[in-house]
Amino acid sequence: MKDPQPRDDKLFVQGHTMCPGCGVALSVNHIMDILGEDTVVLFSPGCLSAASTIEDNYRFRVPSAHMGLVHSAAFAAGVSAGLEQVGVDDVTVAPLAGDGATADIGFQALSAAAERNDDVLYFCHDNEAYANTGMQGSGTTPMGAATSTTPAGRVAPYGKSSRKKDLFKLITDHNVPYAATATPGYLGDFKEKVTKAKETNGFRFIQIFDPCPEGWKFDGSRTVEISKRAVQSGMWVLAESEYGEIEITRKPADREPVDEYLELQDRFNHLSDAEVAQIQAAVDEFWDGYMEAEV
Amino acid sequence: MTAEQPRVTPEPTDETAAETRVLTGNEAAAHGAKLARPEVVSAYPITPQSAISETMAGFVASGELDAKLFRIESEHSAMSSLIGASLTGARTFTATASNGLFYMAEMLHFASGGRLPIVMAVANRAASPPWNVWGDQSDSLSQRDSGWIQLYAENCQEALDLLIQAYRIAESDDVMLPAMVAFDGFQVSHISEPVVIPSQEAVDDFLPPYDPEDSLAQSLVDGDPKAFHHITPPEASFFEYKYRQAQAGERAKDRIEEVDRLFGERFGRRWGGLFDPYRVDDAGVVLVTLGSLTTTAKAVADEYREKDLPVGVLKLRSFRPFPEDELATVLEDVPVVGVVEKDHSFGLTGSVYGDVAAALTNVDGQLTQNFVTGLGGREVTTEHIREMYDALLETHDTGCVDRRSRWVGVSR
Repeated sequence: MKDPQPRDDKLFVQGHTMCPGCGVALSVNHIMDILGEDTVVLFSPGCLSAASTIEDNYRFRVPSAHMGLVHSAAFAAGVSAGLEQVGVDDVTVAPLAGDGATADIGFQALSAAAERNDDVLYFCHDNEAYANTGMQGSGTTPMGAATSTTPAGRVAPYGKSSRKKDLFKLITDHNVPYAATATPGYLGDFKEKVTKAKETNGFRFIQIFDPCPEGWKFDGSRTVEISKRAVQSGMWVLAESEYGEIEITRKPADREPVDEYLELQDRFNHLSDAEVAQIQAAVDEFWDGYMEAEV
Repeated sequence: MTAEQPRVTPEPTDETAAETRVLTGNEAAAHGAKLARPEVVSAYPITPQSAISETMAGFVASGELDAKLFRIESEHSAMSSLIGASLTGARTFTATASNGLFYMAEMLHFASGGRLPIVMAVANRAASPPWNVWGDQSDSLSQRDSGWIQLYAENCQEALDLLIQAYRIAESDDVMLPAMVAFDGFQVSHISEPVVIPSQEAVDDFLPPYDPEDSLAQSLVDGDPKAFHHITPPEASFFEYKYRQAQAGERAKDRIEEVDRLFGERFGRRWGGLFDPYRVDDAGVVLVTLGSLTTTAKAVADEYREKDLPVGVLKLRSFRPFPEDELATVLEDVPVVGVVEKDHSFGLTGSVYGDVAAALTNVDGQLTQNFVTGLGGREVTTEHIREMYDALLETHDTGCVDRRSRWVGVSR
């Protein structure tokens, strides 16, 4: 930012205490620009709420509430229903939740709200771990990543042994009006999707791949590069779906091998060549699955 | 319940009664909730309250109640959705029991800490296993410290009336706390009694629409962004929030008394506010009760009074806030006080007994005894109540008391 002063037109205001290079902070800045003032944001416990909703340092210029970890979708559905009942219309109700709150402990409430088609625009900020509590592994932690609860050790040299849960496909399979994936490295694609979601009614879901310099152990100046390389290697697929029909919104002409992406982050630096080859095979399979799923 | 037990047969008392119908406790509770016009209803089925959720769904489907009804996937989400809705300024309602209440437990604290006046019916049910769907009070009593107002109804009519009262108490400007209205599973939820259903006009007059000073909706309308449930570090305001919450709980005592009086003036039925003493004034022995077995206890008290045995009953209606000073005053001259309840707090006594004993701690020479009975829906008969009164009368004569809970009706 060239301007050191908080800008009056910003709804996510400078002065938060997110880490330098935080993908979530980057994403939320653009999300708030698009959603505008007629928005209620709801925070699951995590980095974003801890860095922007502490008493006397509230960094949003829209009404908000801090939620529990378990229930983001149900809480948001209640806010949406309540506003409708008390006659406050045309408000976007946007939970800004982490991957743990979404894919793990909050998945039951998420699935139910998606199935009921509650009028909520749900953002999952996926930094592939419980970052705020110290990088514990979550359901969206990728295979092979070392976290504080999936450390690489002598008898478990691999880090996390299971694959990343594919939330986007799971929510797509609920036949919701709109679901998408995004990442701040592809801002045009990102903004189009948030705009489209805002203009759609019913349950909308955007899972955002938000690199975490602190947790993934890379320099904060490389957030956008990591974001782009994840897409170029097929580790992350940019896609959207309307009522269950998937379309890939950006296909790399030649997918890069995953080793270049992995080498940029120290959370993968324990992997052997054979293990990297296993991850490559899994990513190839993941990518092929999307190619087949596309309409 | 036994054949000897007297039934409350209310008559329409004035022009506020729309009709008298034979309703189950669950149906009566649903009618009470409907008359309060909740704007968002979210409940997950569980025995013995399922009929409340079903009846509410029927009201919404038929257009009798203009509410958003969530077909919710769990009790945790039921309470979560109501927390979100209440935060916008909408009036809300749910119902649950036992496992459902336990599953909600995290959100009970959230609702009270958020100062959201959500109202919930609880058809009391045992805590399994061994598996048991029948009534005892160990579910709601175990949530004593969740910050909810807890009111207990004796019969179907009181369940209906108390649901209406609960909204007015909970939403009072100087209270703003959630409230649960509990009644015995099966012994109230599934029995049918004639119930006076007040007219909508009379209830509307008694219970104004919920219009909180602060809400998400108000924040949006005013263009004044507010953060609810924000983070409060130790040096910030958390402790002060909790202090104000505790003060609100104290003030709720006054509102419970006041609302009972105003309800009586409007609808012709008073239930006693914080508690309802029966033949207590000159009693040597009083049995403190909670819920439906009050009716049985009153019948036995009448029988003993015929024999010139000085016994009385005190029906506790508000378990939280707990009427500590008020109880100490009314029971001041009673030498022996028993407390009967359908729960047991592991390693000690029943939960209600502990609080009653604490309230009476400064009454000189007074003796107290706890009775645990009716767990898992075991029938509490007049014979069981006689056993309790006989034990209390013996204590009265001998001055000897057993500090431990006496389990009545259990096979050893």
